[in-house]
Amino acid sequence: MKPMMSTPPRTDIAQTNTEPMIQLRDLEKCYKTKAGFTYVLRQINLDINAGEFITIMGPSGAGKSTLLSILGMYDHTWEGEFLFLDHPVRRLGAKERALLNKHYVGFVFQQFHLLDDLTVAENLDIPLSYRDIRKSEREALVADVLDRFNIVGKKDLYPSQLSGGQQQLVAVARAIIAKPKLLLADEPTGNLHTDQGREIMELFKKLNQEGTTIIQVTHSETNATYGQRIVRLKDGWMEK
Amino acid sequence: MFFMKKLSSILHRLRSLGQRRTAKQEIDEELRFHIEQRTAENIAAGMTPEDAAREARKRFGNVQSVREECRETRGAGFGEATLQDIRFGLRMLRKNPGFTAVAVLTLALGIGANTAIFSLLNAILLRPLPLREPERLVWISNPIPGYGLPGLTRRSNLLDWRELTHSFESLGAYIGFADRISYTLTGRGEPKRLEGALVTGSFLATLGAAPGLGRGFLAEECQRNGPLAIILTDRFWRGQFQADAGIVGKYLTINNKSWTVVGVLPPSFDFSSTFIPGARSVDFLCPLRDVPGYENWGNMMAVVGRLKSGVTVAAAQAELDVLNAQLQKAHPERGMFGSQVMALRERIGGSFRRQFLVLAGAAATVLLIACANLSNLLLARAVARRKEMAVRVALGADRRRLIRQLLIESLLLSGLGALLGLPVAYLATNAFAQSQAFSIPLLQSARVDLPALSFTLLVAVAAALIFGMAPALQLSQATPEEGLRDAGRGTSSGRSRLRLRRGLIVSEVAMTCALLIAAGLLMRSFSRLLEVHLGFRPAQAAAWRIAPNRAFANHQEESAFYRELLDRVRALPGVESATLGATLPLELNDIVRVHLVGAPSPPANMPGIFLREVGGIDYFKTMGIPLRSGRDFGSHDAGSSPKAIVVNESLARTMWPGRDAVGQALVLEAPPDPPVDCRVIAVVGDVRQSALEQAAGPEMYMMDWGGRELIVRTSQALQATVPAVRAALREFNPGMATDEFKPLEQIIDRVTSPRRLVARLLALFSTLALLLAAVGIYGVLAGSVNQRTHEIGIRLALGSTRGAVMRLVLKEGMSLAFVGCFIGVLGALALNRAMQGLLFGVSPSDPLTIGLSALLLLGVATVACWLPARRAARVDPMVALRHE
Repeated sequence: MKPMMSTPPRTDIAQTNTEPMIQLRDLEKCYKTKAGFTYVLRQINLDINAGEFITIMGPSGAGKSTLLSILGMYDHTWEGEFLFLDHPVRRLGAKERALLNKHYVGFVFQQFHLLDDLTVAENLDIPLSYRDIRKSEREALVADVLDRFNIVGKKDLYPSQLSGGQQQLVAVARAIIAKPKLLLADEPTGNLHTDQGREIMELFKKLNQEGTTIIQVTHSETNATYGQRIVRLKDGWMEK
Repeated sequence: MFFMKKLSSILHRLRSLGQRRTAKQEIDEELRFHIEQRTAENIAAGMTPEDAAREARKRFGNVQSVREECRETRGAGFGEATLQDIRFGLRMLRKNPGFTAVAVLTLALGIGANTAIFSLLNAILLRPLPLREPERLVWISNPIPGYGLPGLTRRSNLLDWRELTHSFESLGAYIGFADRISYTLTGRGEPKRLEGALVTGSFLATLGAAPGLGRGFLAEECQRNGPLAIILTDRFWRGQFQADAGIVGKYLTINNKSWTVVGVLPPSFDFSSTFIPGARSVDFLCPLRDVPGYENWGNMMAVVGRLKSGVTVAAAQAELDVLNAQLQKAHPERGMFGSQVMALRERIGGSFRRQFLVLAGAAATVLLIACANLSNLLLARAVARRKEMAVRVALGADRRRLIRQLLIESLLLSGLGALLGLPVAYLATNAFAQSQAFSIPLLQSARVDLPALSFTLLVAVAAALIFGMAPALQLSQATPEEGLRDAGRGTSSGRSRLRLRRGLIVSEVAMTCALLIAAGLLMRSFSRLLEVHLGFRPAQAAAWRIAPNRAFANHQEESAFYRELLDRVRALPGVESATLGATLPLELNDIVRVHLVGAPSPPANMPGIFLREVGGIDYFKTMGIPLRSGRDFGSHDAGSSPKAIVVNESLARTMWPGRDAVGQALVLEAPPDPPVDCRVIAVVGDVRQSALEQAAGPEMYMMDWGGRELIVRTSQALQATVPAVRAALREFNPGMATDEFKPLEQIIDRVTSPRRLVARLLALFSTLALLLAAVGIYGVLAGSVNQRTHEIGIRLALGSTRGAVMRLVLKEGMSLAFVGCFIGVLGALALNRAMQGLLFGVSPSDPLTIGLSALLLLGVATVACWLPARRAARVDPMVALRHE
């Protein structure tokens, strides 16, 4: 096994694991306000197996993005149990959580969040450089992804020179370039028109078929059909 | 070189400390994580914990070699990532040209000012003297004023010290009043007045300053009838002979005698700048020849010594103290004398230490204020960049990496600032070094050299850390959650950022206030100094240094020459009066001792008396010194017996308290010459003799035809009379150099020049600080108004008046200014002691200066607050609310 900092993580770990990739038990999240505690997630119990494509749906304020943030290990102020590949996330320190995130998780935002001052190629390179991968390896990976996503011709353009669909395409490419096992997507087609949205969803489907576990948050019933399972949230509770 | 090495070593150590430990830790943590993860998977697959761990380690392979591989990758990655950050940083600077220009210009001024002050400080206080083993060089002054010049020593004392002490490897000296000896170079175009310094044969060897070309003086050249030899200074050699190396061995005609040029001083050793700053540049050194008559000149030797290896200043002092007591017993004719030994470096620059440290403090304060401003600008930009940072964190960046990226951006800014600041520093330093207006030793050797460049680098790095750290720390706290959803207004991080920005403004205002007060105090001191009653009128009067190009057969012939010279000058249109004098006030003064007729010796409490030799009639009228009683000198007083003298009011009060001094007699002691009987013919007003800060002491005037200073008072503009006087002198004595003309006001300029320099620089720095503080206040308030546009819109929509909105913003800004001002005043009062020695006629806690400084600052702050307040009051509520 090679350390994560020199090469992207291997993809065979989850397959060797018989337990679900993600196990949530009685997970709760609340904010303390002057009026008392305001719960945004209540008693969430959820298992997600490696290779699944899950859709989280629910009205605004239901806690969808908060749940996604917790699954991505960006948020650690919650109660309950969260096992990620058998790692008890609650008991991990900030650095270990960051390591798990860095090695296994990719994220696609509704607003794309490409870095405006970097070209397409540089945007793709950024997650790799944060993983201390050698430049030669990074260049090879970026070239591979550019080719795979059919955006070689756009590599020197800045995000502002791309359409919304192209930007989201680059954002997805950026999210998967470090070969994450889990791809989290928050309203990935929310800012795209229908055709562009469909392309992205087809891409997700393909990635899922290649082995990437995907959890998406969406309001779109159409997008939800790409997944295998829908988790519905309402006022922080998971609907049975 | 030393600074460069030190800086590089410090940076290297800091970097390795920070990186090596964290990188090693991170690699180890990550390797452990992998093994633990594999172990957990094995356990989950049904293995026992021991087997699981063993299998995990086996599968992982050789931990040490993987660790090495990781480190290798890390090392290369660090360089690459840094380059990537630099590229990105440069792109960000290009993208925001307005911000970049303001930041770089601000830093250029701050860093440039600090580099310039460092260059001056380095030349005057820090840089070792350009002499061999300068730490062994000492200055030996005579603390007891006797006959001759204050601080100097008799030649006989020097000879005895040389023979009888064991502390010194060698002793040398130059003549303190050598500039009273006139030298005229002829045979090379127009006659040219030269400045020569008489030095002992051992002077250069003692200093360890070997000539750059040729050789030092030989023993026979220091003998009474030995060959005439001179050593040129580098500046004269380059200016007069275009650095012709062939000049060594050639003859120059000086004062109608032929002198051999035996050497040229090295460029590193500037005699004038080191020993007689502010005076006319010395052109050559010539040996003090062994003439017995020199003893009659009294205290005239400025003595330097080279301590033997291992001998301390204190040991040399103790030895000289014992020896001096013995010498005084053995030679009572030498009168009282002593010796004070101090390191030569201390003697040369020591008296300017406090001034330059205050200036360095002021320059550093300006840079700190600039840093606070930039920090504020970066914090304001942080709002816009928070999302970018959140995304970077979401993509895997750790906090250290973000801080590094942000600090690299700051370093690029300060690097550009330093690049632009260096020419500013170079120009400023050169302007000071080349200016003859400031009589500060070694100032002329100031330059932006390698230590100054190292200092600039250090300052640039420090500035980047100071202004970049707070925004970097704030921005690096970004969480990916902020990338997932918009950060709301009024979040706690937004409030703490605003608190920090306000804190920075308060500190800026406080520092500016303290600087304004310090500058105000020095300006007031300077103006008080200029208000000092000099005792003479320098306006519309000038002095020519003259040296007749002829020899006189006797005293009568000489007197007749000067009489006629004065008559010709007086006859010129516009000339009100003219006279001659040996010296001018506030320059070197002879000291003598006097006592009443019949008294055995000068009273013990009687200080040395300043003796001024007057070379012609109308001296007091020309100088503008008021005659209190008696009569002015007449032509017949030159050779009178008893000698006619004029005394000042201080001497009259000291010698004949409550009585009229006119007609009184006293005896002038000038050993080894016999005592001279004198009769007072007049009392004149006191004149400041040594320094404007020192009250006048007792002084007497004696008349003898001649002198090296022709003093002319004009009834019209001084400059209009100069050509006529020069032409008259040239016509009267064609060989006489007439190029050296000096308005008497220039003397005041020279003696006040160190104070003027410090006051002006401090005023410049405080003006810069005031400007920066105003920009800072404006920036924060403008940002705050921008952020609060929505709130202001609601207030206006709910019925608030525009005046109330304006007051709201003004109150926010002015409360910061008031708090800052208050802290600044307290700071200035706390720094009282640092200012104490620099002030004249004004107290460090002078309420007027403090009040005016605070008022000025608050006035500027009001303007800076008023602009954003006016903008806030003009907010259209409908537009503000619609945009939300």
